[in-house]
Amino acid sequence: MAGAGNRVLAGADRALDLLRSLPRLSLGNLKSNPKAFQQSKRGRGRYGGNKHGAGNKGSGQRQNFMRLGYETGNNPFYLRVPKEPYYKGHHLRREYPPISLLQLQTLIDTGRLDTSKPVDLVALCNTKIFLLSPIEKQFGFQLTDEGLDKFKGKVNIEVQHASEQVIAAIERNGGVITTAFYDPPSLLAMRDPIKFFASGIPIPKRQMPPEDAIEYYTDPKNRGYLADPDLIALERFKLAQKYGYELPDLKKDPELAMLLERKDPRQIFFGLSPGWVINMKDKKIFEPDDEKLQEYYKS
Amino acid sequence: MASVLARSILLRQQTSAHRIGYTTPLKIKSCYISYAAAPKEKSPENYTRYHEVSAENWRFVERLIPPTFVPSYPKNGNYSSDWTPPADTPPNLPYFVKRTKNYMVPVYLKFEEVRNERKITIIRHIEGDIWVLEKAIKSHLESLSKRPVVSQVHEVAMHIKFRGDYVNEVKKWLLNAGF
Amino acid sequence: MAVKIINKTVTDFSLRVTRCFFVPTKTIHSNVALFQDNLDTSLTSIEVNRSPLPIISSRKLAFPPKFKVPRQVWVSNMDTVEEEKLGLIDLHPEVFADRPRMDIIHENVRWQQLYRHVSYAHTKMRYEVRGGGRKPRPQKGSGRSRHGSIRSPIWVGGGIVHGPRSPTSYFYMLGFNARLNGLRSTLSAKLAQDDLQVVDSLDIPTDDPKYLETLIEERGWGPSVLFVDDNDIMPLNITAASDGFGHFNLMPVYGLNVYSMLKHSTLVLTLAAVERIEERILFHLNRNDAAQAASKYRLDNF
Repeated sequence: MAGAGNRVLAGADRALDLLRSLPRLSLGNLKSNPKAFQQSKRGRGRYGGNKHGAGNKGSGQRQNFMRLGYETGNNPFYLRVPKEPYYKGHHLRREYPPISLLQLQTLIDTGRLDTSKPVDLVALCNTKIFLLSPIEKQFGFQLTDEGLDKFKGKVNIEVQHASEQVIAAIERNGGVITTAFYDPPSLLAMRDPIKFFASGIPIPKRQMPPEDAIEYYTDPKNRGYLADPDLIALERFKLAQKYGYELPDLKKDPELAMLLERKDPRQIFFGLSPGWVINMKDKKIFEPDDEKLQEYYKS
Repeated sequence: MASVLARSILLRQQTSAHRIGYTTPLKIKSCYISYAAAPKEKSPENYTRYHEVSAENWRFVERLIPPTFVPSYPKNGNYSSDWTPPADTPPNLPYFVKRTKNYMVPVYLKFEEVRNERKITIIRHIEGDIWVLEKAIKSHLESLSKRPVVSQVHEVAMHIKFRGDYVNEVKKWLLNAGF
Repeated sequence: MAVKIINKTVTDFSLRVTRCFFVPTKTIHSNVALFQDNLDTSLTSIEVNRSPLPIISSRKLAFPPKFKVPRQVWVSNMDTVEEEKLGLIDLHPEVFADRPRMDIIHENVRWQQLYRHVSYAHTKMRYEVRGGGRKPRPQKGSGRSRHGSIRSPIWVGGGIVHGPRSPTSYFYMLGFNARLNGLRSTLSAKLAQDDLQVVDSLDIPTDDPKYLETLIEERGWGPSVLFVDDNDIMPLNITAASDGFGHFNLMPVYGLNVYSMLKHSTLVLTLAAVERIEERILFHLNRNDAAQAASKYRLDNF
């Protein structure tokens, strides 16, 4: 082993060596760091803990304060200025936590992401580095442009939001990007699929995006999953012209089959249809026979 | 008398319910928070029949299973991000700085409240002679910043703290040293 | 009666008798002492057929350390009173030679003592003390102080303010990594102080308590010993032999904890237990979903 030549007794080894000459460690002689479990004492200050920090006499001690914002009859400040509703509708807004291209490249470099298979929200959540919380109105990940020039990965990636230069960075390297919408029940299933399968619930059917998101996901410029594929091909070419890179020919790519893998707009897992029930223990997949159910789960 | 009254009220409720199409007079719709919380159907004939899907599709389920351990990084040498792997054999030095389980250099910036908030650079996962490492990094940082750098060595917990934000400098130094 | 049962070889019946019917075991000890001479000659005459030593000479470590040097321990036997060294094995330094953090060990012991502790100390507040509804004397004119109740906290025999109220739970959960590092630190400290022994298995040739006692005394273990095996169904003989002693205890790996390790002077691990402990701790040190595992403990997590 390298470094063994000039090694001295140090660090953990030194502490363990010291322990050899000390009495046996037991419940009786165990001690924590000084002041580690010290309780804060009662206030014995100027007033002997009597005044509870409220001073002596008057409105201070009795704490009969005026109501908040009241200016003893003046037109109060909070009514003087007009409303600025920055947070109006905040509880309805969708949040897309960011993942930068640099982070994505680091995931690829450290072997956390397998680029020989399409990368979607499940793959990103399975790295266990990014945690998604649909209950806090997080609707998936957005890809941001930090580390744009360093990004060299060739991926078939599906995110929920991406800007133009991010799309260009991915397509320049011969990759493919799709932006797709998932409703919260689908996201809850996708963030931990194995736990979801264990609950015995059929794979949900992906719902269509809400009204204000339809425009984004039908736009070929955003590589939306509801956009016309021919228009997306055109936009790929246009974007290559705009940013001045040569668009790699996908047809000649050895990984063409992987790069062309897409989900159905009603599907949330690759290769698995909505309505299926997965049995992880016996490694079996079941599909319902009921016609009404089949009609419902059909895309 | 009371029973006659009750019967007439019930009758009236039933007839009105029949008129608007409900079978029971008082039906309250209940919502359940999840499938698991909802009451289960007892008789199996009310469930749908099902069939097994071909076993070929199981490979798609296997894709969804996360790895148990942190996967090892590919050793192809093409790392275009800022990250570089540690040297295969540790450098011949009396100390060693181990990568984290995610193969990152364990140098962090910490904000500590000491009279006022101050930035602290902390190096963790140190093995071996911590004092030699502290001396080496401290002299490097002092030569870079041209002023004295305050440091603190915790030999029990095996970490070193430097006052100020030197995260990038320390990371660079450790990478150059082969950790 | 008791001595007769001990001198027999253990059958299912006799084990059941010793475990269920002879609960106070002090009488067994005193009777055993009378027959000490007989027992000693019978113990030393046990012969074991064994292939030539060393039987175990190497062990492959998962997640091999880059800088730290593996610790080495002897593997001894339990089938004779005299110690025989069956071989030498490597132990993972991340598990058995970690920093012995006394503060983390202390945190663990404190937590183990407190999380199941319920305090029943109780005092009565002024409304709970009997009586005191009547104004003791008129507000004015008596020349004495003004009072509204004889159970006011400033009265002797009155209610207690901010006193202990029962039941008070002291439950809290120690962080995941503190529990993990507590095990690593304690195992390392035990090994450093030569209080950690590795044996091939817990199979002993007889169910005689005296055999176990002499074996432990011969090897300088103890006075209290914790035997840890991978399986929770322990060998019959050692179960019967240790049953009468309060200070020789058996424990499966899944029950291993900081408090028990410190409560016993010597920790005896079987080879299977060593494998299992290392496997579990290295799993937690290298698991993919470590952030999720170390997330804050919530009662409604299940």
